[in-house]
Amino acid sequence: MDLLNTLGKRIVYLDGGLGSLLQARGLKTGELPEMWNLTHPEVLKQIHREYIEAGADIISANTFGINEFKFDNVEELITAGINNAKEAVAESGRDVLVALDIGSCGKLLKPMGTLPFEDAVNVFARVIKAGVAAGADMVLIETQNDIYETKAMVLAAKENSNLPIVASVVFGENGKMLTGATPDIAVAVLEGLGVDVIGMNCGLGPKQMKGLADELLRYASIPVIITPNAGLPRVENGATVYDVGPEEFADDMVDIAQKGAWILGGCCGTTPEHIKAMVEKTKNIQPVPISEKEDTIVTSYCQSVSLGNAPRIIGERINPTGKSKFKQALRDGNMEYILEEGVKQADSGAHILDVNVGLPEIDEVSVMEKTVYELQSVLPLPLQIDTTDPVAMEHALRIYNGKPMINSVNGKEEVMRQIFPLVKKYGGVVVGLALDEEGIPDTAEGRLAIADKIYSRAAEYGIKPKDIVIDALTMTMSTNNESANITLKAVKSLKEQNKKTVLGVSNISFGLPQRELINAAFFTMAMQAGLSAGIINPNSAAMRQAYDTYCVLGGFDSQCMNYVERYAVASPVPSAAPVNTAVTSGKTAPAELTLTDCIIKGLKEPAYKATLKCLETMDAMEVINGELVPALDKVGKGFEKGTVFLPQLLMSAEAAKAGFEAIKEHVAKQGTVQEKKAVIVIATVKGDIHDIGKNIVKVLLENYGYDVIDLGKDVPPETVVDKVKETGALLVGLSALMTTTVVNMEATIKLLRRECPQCKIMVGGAVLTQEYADMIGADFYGKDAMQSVYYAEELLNTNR
Amino acid sequence: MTINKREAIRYLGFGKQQPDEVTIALIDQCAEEISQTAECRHTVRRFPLTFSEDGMPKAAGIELQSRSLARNLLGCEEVIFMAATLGPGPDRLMNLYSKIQISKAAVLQATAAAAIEDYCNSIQRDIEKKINAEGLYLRPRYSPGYGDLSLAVQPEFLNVLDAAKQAGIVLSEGGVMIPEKSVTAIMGISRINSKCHIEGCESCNNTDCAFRRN
Repeated sequence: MDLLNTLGKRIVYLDGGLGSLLQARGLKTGELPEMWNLTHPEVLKQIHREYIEAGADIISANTFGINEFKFDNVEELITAGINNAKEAVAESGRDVLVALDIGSCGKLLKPMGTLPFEDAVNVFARVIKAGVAAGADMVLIETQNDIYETKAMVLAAKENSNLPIVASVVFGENGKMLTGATPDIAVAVLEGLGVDVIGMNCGLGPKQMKGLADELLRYASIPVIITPNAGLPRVENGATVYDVGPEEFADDMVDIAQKGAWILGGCCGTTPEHIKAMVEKTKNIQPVPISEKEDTIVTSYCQSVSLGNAPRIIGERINPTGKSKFKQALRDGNMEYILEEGVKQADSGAHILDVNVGLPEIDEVSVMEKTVYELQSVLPLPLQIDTTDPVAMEHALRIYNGKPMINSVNGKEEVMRQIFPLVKKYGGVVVGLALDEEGIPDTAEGRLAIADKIYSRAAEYGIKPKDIVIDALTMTMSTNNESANITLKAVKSLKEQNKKTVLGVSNISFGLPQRELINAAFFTMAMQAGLSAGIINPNSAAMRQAYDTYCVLGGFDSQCMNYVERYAVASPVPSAAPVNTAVTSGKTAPAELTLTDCIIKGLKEPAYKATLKCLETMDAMEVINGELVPALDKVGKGFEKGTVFLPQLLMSAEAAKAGFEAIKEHVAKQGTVQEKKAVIVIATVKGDIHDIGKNIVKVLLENYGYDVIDLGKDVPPETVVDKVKETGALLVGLSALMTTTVVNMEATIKLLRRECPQCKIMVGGAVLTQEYADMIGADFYGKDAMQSVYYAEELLNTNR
Repeated sequence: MTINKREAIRYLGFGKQQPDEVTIALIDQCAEEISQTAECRHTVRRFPLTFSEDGMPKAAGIELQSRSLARNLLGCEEVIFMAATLGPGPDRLMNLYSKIQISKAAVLQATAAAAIEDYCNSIQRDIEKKINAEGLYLRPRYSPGYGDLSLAVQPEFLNVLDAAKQAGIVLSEGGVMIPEKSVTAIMGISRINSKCHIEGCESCNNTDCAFRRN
């Protein structure tokens, strides 16, 4: 039987549950069922045969949990599992497919867990290779809780086989996967990655799945598989039981087939009887034809943005062009700066964030990958990956957790040859610039012709029109009086063809005074012409106002709710500064506050301003030693005495940091070199993944002028030693939270003693005590973050 | 969800002192954000309880080597195992602010800790109602890693609860639960009413109770 050929001609059936059937035949709680492939092959063949007799067209080999994290003999177990299934098929005489069944590897991927994405791909690649070698007919990826791990599996399957791929995820009763994806997101990501069938299984019974099946079917342009449990689980005497019997199950599956699912099966608690009853009742249902869905959707792991209806904002601020601070942050590998830019734009209402880190002197491939990784680790917004380097593009697309926007391709043959295969492989909505080898046409017709070329060449790669957004290109008014008209005409025409468009808006005003006035007006005109998304600065009040007012007038702001919420209370003209209380903590203080006051009260921006004021009359060292450090000392002492508490200590630290920032800028302007600071290496030890405590220590140490090298969390002893050797650091700070990870702290100390005997070691963390610290051989135990500062000062600071 | 802000304030080290206005505003904001990002899930199973010759409790094939837990479970014939989590959302939030605004990260962390305790309390209350309806009583919850009950039981414990699948809780190689704000606990079921206060034994006024932890 050819799966892809059979689909749509009749309903196709997967088998049902396996675990409870094995338990009924003697599998003990905690015993690994896959071992039975070798020890009890007859039992497995028997169960497979029962499902085949019940009418299953696909049987899942008993390979769900096999991977190198759980078993040493991956290949042997998979081969046995596939063979058992194939023998059962052969004995039955029916034409039935054997699926290599793959589940989660049992470890969480970074950033939630510790498993790097590429390691996950490799773990699954080994499973796929073994399945292909054993003769599996298809790959069944199922019971997926994390869309990111599912992506790793699909890539492994595509890179190591030509078999049909079915990917099935778990939605909870809240309609989301564990890591947050809703059905539209799951479809966008998995269809983008090129799976053949998408669906849901486990978690819910058939009744609870109906609404979610509607959602999947609403978005999917490929066949859908629905595999419910036999109802919701219930625990009885310590065992999980399911209450929906075969007839009831089958009745619900009739509904699901009529809605449009093409493959039906059963998950936990279902038996051959369930499958048999389901086949009986649904076999005469004609599969509902699948229509091609036209939604243009970009997603993160938990948010989707659809393009083509209400206009959307793509935040342009993560881009070094014309921003010296940003460039410096990229050179320094300062992710904090970039994350803050992301958070500000998110708070200002951006729907998607453009990410451009192109700078000639940096390694764009690794910086782009790291930036995308860091942003998607902490922000829920979808990203637009913006680079002209195809290698950087591929690295970013590979590790991206969702369906990204890809910025960009254009009408040049060479660029299309480089970019389209990436779009096809990884999925994404690609921006097509209306230019080619001949340059940028100065007529709308010329740009439309290039757009047509982009659509037709994309189609040759199997990329659908819905996954293309045309950038009709904004040219500056100062060089051509018709610039805006040409662009708007192209946008309007594309809109009439139901195509999606994007514009980098601000180029229109290049060379003109008061650029925001022009930008905002042009943005409004472009939205009126049908623009799908504007790449703008969402922190700009003028752009924000243009957007919000257009949404009201264009009928995209239902009952003007958003507009009222944003403008009713605030002054008629909102501040141009980012409306972000989260990042810029601290209220505006009266002007007369001294720098010391600002730090003690934890006021960030006032501290910055007060520092600048001090610098008018004092030199940098005077401000540091006369104002900043004494203020910090005062707060630190208060903390020790119990009159100042942790949040206040940290707010003061942040205020001081803003002060140091002002000094740094001042010194840079003057061209003088700042005093060289002592290096301290800090890390949360291997196995430990919580690092707020370590980060607190970092912030405080930095305030006292140390060059803190933060190795992050889950850091192996060797990495600490290498860094200490590289930097010649005389002090290392180690943090551990759990009794189970203190052993790794001890191992790190031992290695440091041997390799870097000159280096002192301070330790801290929830589980540690002075006694414990002595036992594992640390030089110093800090019961709180201030203690580490005092120790460092005592040890390293000869000036003060 | 409910979050006991008083507890969050205590975790932040204020003791009985009232925080300043700025801190209170930050706690309110963090409580709101934790509520929005938390996807609470839990899994609960009930097992028969036996005691080995040396008096150590055993359930679901797991030997619970702990004298203090043994005292806690004395006289019980069954136990409830539970695992609960706020889900991955709060972790991402704490990671973000840990990088860009450490004061908020610290407050988020305290607020989330209070939130998971409240969530566990609500689960415990629901279980207790059911247990009481059977004419039985629930003992206070006791978590692996507490007292002399080693964290070494965590892998097996989570395994019998099917916690990865049911609640999305897994262990890192270092034995740390992910998501961060997750709790595992054991509660005895007894025929005798010797139950303690739901919010932890220490807060109970009955200082003569045989099950008191301190």
